[in-house]
Amino acid sequence: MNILIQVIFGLLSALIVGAAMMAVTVRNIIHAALWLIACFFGVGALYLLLEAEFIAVVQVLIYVGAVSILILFAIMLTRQIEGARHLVTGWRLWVTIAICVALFATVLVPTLLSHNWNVPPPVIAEGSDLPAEPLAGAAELGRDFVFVYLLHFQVTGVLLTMALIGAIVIAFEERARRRRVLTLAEEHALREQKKNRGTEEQENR
Amino acid sequence: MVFQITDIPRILPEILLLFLAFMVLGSDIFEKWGRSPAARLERARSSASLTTIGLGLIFVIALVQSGYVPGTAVAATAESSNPLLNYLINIVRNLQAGGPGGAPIIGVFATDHLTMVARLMLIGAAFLTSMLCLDYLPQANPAEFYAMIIFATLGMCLMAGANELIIAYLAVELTSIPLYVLAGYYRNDTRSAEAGMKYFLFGAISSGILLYGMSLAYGFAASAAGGMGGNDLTQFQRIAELARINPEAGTGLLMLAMIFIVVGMGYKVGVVPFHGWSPDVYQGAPTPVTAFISTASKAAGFILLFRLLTVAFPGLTGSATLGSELGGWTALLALLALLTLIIGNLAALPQTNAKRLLAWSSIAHAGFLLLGLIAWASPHGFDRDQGTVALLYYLVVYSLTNVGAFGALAAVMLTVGGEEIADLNGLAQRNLLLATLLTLCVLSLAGIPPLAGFFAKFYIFMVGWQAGAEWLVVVAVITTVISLYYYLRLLKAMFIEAPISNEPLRAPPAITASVSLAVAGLIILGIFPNLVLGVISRVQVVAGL
Repeated sequence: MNILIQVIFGLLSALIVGAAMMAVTVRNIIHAALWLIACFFGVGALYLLLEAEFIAVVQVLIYVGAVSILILFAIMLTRQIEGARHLVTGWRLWVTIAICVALFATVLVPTLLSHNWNVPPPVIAEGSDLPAEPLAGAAELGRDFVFVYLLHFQVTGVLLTMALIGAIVIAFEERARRRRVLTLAEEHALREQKKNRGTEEQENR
Repeated sequence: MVFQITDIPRILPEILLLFLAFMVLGSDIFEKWGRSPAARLERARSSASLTTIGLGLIFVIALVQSGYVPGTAVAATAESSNPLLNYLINIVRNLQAGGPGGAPIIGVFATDHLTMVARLMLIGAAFLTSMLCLDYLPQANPAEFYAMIIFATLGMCLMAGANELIIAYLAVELTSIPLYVLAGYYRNDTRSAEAGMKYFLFGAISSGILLYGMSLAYGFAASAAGGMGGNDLTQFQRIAELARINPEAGTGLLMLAMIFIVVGMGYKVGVVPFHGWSPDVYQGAPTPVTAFISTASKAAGFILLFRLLTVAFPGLTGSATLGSELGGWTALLALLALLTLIIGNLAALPQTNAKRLLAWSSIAHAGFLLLGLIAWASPHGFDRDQGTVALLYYLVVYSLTNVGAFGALAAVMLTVGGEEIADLNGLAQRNLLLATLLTLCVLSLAGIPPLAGFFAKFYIFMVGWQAGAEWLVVVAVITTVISLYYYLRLLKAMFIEAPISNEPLRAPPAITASVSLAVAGLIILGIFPNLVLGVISRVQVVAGL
């Protein structure tokens, strides 16, 4: 049982890390978004493995369902799907990789492996398959959010509101004539137009 | 522990900041949204003045609440027959019921003297910044610009009081995200857009590193508690307590967590070698925003770092004395301080842009500030307390000075049209007041007596010396002397170089007022440091220590 769980955990971790790596390295952003969805799915499965069913469902509903669709919509509205290749190559890349791998292998892994992890699994009540206290069911989360994590809950609310306002401020350009959000393609065309006008004026001079 | 109704006055300043932010956002809807420049100016002005007045009021409320004003503490116990006076006394009394002291709210938010002093400093810096913005108006969406400043201030206040890992992380994000938006607010300016983008990328990575360190610390606590812990495993004191109870449970793991946290916070406060973002961000961001980022955000970062390291990792303090037993976080910070002092000061020498020069100088100052934390290397409680006091005094003085310096540069930018050192040429002949104010700020940054900067530097050197980091203090003194060169370059430009034109400059009134306030604070604190030191020395009682 224990080994099975560890194998599943390993596979899920490989999926998450691999998908996350692909999401940031592929050139086509639609592919990147799809890899991101795979990554979200992996995280949801990880929550399920931790017996946090509610969070797993929420993860799938919100991240896989809503957030990724929004990302895909945003990509659809942009014109340029293929990004330019901006990979840093040469000795710097290799030195960075060497340092990272060396630190990971000599510091991080030995420390984490040598630590005596003493985290027993939750107590399982007699005659039942379920732990006496479910770890993160909806009821527990709801109760904790208004008691122990009240302040966290409120601060998170403020944080999300503020992030929303900030995102709108970045995306929304206030114009004298019309007040609507320009898509990136329109914005780009507008900039090009302005730039062309500027060069024409210079040529005229 | 549960949230009590009596905890509400204890977080009153934070609640008021939140209300103010929504008020600023909401009131903008009722303004006239005209197309003409005059209407736009009016709309921006009204948001700016609402923010300034609101922050000023919240500052006063926080000041009364903290009980640091001599008269108010007496007033709380007085009785009067005059009903109006009684009414006022009751208000003061109710406010002070939420004053310093008491156990942290739900164990996560401490309202001790450190939080009180930090609140005053952060809200004060935000107030001065919003005053700068009365003249330096954003191009579009004014209400959101000011709301972002208030949200960031709210995050900083939470950072200062955070006594638990999750709330600390949330507060860091609540501070950082508005600052990313603010740094890139002038989207049509390539430099500003670059600053926003750069700040965001570096900030996101540093948040990730910070979070990783925090998760390791939580992992340590959960494993040391052996599945017996409740919801309090992320609290700073609890981590320290668990580390004390089982000393060999996992020093390596805890050390790793501490290093990750120091690195993550190091990015936020901009110490070398994690400073890559700061010169570009400071130069590209709108100047009042630069003033805000370089003062309030740095101060909040240092206070959170102080609380994290001293409350959660007391067992890893170590020593910064060269040779014998170099180790622990004091040695790590000493190394960072050494790099920061040398690179920060040397890189400032060849700069030609005044804003960039001040950015490098601000990096160098982070090195001095680290000395205050290194004081914890000393085994004597007295030296440690002195370190805390010196750190906070330095933060107050540094915040005032940098708001003043960047504010004066904002005025130069608005009137002359550039921020190169050459744009400062002959400023003394064109506007003597502005030149004098900038000079005083620069001299205070350089540490010339009788300005407050001198005393702050002297104090922090003394503390570092007593903590056993003599080698570092020697380096700090040498780099201070080097720093004189680039500070004097600014003065030379203002007083000796010939101006481009002899036409007198009219400095914007609100900026002048804000900078004057800051400079007045500098002179007063330089001559009577006890005014603030008396208050700051109460900070020694930090929750959970």
